[in-house]
Amino acid sequence: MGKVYLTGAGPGDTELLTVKAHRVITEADVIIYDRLANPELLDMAKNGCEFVYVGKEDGRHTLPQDEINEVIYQNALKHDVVVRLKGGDPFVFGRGGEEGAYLQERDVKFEIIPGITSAVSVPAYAGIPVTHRGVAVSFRVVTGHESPNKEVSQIPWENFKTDDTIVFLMGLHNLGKIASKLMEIGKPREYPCAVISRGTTEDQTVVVSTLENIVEEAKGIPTPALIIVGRVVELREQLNWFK
Amino acid sequence: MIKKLLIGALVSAAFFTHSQAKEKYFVVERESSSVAVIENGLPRHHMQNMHNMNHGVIKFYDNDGYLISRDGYIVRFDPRSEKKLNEYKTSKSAIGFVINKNYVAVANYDDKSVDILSRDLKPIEKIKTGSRNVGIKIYKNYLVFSEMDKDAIAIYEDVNRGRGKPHFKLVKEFKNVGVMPFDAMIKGDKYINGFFQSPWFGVVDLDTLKFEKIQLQLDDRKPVLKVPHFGFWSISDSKVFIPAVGDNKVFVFTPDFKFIKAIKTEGLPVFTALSPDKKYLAVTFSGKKFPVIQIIDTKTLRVIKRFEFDGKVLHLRWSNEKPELYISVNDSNKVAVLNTKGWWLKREILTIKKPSGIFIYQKGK
Repeated sequence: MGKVYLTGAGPGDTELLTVKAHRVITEADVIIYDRLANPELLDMAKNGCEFVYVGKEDGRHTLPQDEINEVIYQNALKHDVVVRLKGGDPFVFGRGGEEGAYLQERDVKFEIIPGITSAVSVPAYAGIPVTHRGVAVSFRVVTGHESPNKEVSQIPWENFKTDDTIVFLMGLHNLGKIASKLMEIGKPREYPCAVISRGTTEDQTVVVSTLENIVEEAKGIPTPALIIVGRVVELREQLNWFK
Repeated sequence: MIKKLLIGALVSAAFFTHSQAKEKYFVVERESSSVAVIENGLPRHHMQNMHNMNHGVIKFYDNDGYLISRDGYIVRFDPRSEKKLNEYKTSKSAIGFVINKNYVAVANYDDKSVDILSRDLKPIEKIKTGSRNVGIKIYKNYLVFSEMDKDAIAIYEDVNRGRGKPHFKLVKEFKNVGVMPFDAMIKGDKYINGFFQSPWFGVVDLDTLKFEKIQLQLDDRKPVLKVPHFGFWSISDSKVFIPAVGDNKVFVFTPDFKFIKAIKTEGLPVFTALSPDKKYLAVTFSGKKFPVIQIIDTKTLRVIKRFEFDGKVLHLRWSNEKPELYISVNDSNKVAVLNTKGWWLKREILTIKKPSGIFIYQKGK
C-alpha cells in the first residue's frame, strides 16, 4: 500500500509551489488533481506518472467528495506515491480533512503538504495586503460558496461588523448577496472592496469598487475569483506591482 | 540541498509556465444533451442544451463549430468561446452533414430531403429526394449523396459555382448501384459508398461521372460480405484497414483493394483510427470486448499493445500535437488518455458524463 500526499498547489502561479510539493510531484506514480490546481504543474511529473482529474466545476458537482475519497484510496492500493494535488491549501476550504480522515480509517499513511493559500497570496498579487499597520489588524477568511445542501447558513454575518478585512473565497456567483449582507450589518455603501479573478496568473484581472457598485462593475469577470472587503483595498493605489 | 531543489523547482516551473496546448477536445456527452470541452487536461466547460446526442457528430470549419443531433437539429457554436450561437431543426431525424465556405448541407432521414443552409444556419433550399439520404459529401461544386430507399447515388451541382447563395440542380442520378446504400467516403476524386445488402461497394469517378462496382475479396477469393461504415475505415498511403463485420479480424488491403492480410484481433472490431504519423492503428471492439482496445503496428501488421478499461470504449481520437490517444470510456463516465510514446495510461478525466464521440478543434488554425 502506498502513501498519499495531500498537497497544496498554491494559488495559480506555478512558482508559488513549495519545494516539498515539487519533490512529491516529481516522485508521484499518480497525481489526483482538481480544477484549481494549475495543470502546468503536471508537466513536472516523471514519465509514466498517471493523472486523474476529479475536480468540480462551478454549479456542476460531477464527482461527489465521497467518490473522490474512494478514488484516492483505490490509487493508494495500486501505487506507492499518490499525490492529491489541490488548488491553494488542502486545509483551507480544500476538504483535505475529510480526505485525510477517510484514509486514516483505512490505515493508509498520509502526509499534509500545505500550500500557499489564495486568501493571502491573491490579494498580495493585486497589491492589497490583508493587514496593514494603522489600517487593519485582523482579517477573516470566509467561504463565498456554502454547500447548497445546508438548510441554514453557517456564516455568522453579524460577527463581521467589526472585522477590518474580510476575504471571501469562491464567492463570485454570490457577490450580490455578499455585498447586500455586509451593507445590512452596517458596513457603509461606499466601503471599499475588490474582486480578483484568476489571481497570480497571467490572466489576473482586478476590479476595485464599493459594496454598492461592485456587482455592476465586476459583471462578466471569469472564475475562479476572490472578493476582498476592507480599507486595505485602497492601498492598491500605492502597491499595485503585478501587471 | 534545499537550494538545489528550489532552483530545480523554479527552473521547471519557469520552463513549463508558457506551454499552452493548442488543441481543444469537444466530447459528446451522450445522455445529457451536452458537450464537454477539455483543454490542457481540464474540462473547461460543458455546453448544454445540445438536444439528442446519440451519435452526435461535431465538425469544424474555419472558426465555426457545427454539431448535428439525432433529432434533426444542427447547432452552430463558437469553439473559442465555447458558446452556442444558433440552431436550426431540419427534420425529425438527420445523421450526416457537410460544410464548405458558402453553405451547410444536411442529409435528412425522415422527411426524405437534403437541407441547404447558410453558414449561419438560415435555410436556403430543401431538396426533396423521396428517400432517406446518407453519405453526403462535397466535391468542388458538386454535392453528392446516396439515396438509401432508391438504391441510388445523386449528384447535384451548385449552379452559382460557389459565388453567392448556392442553388443546386440535379446533374446525375446513378440507379441500381446496390441494395440500401448507407455510408460513403470521398478519396481524391472518387466517391465510394457501401451497402447494407450488397456484397460490393460503389465508386463514382467525380471527374468523369462514371460508376463502377468493386468487390472486396480475400486471398482465398472469398468476398467480404458486409462493408462496414467508412467512418470506421483507416487509410494510410499504402494500406486500407477495414474492420471485418462479424469476425475477429481487421482486413488490410492495398489502395487499389488487393488483399494483403487479415490481422486477428481479440474481439469483433468496430472502429479503427490511424495515428497522425500512420505508424499505429487503434482498434475498438463490440460485445464482450467493448472495454478493450488494441494497437496494431502498421509496418509489421501485428498487434503490439492491448488496454482494458472499466467500461465500454465508444470512441477514440489521436492528438495531432502530442503523443496521446484520447479514449471515451462510456459507462465509467471518463475520458482516458494514453501516452503513445511509452504506452501508459497518462490521464483519466473522471467528470465526463457518458462520453462518446471525441472531436478536436485546432486553436489558431
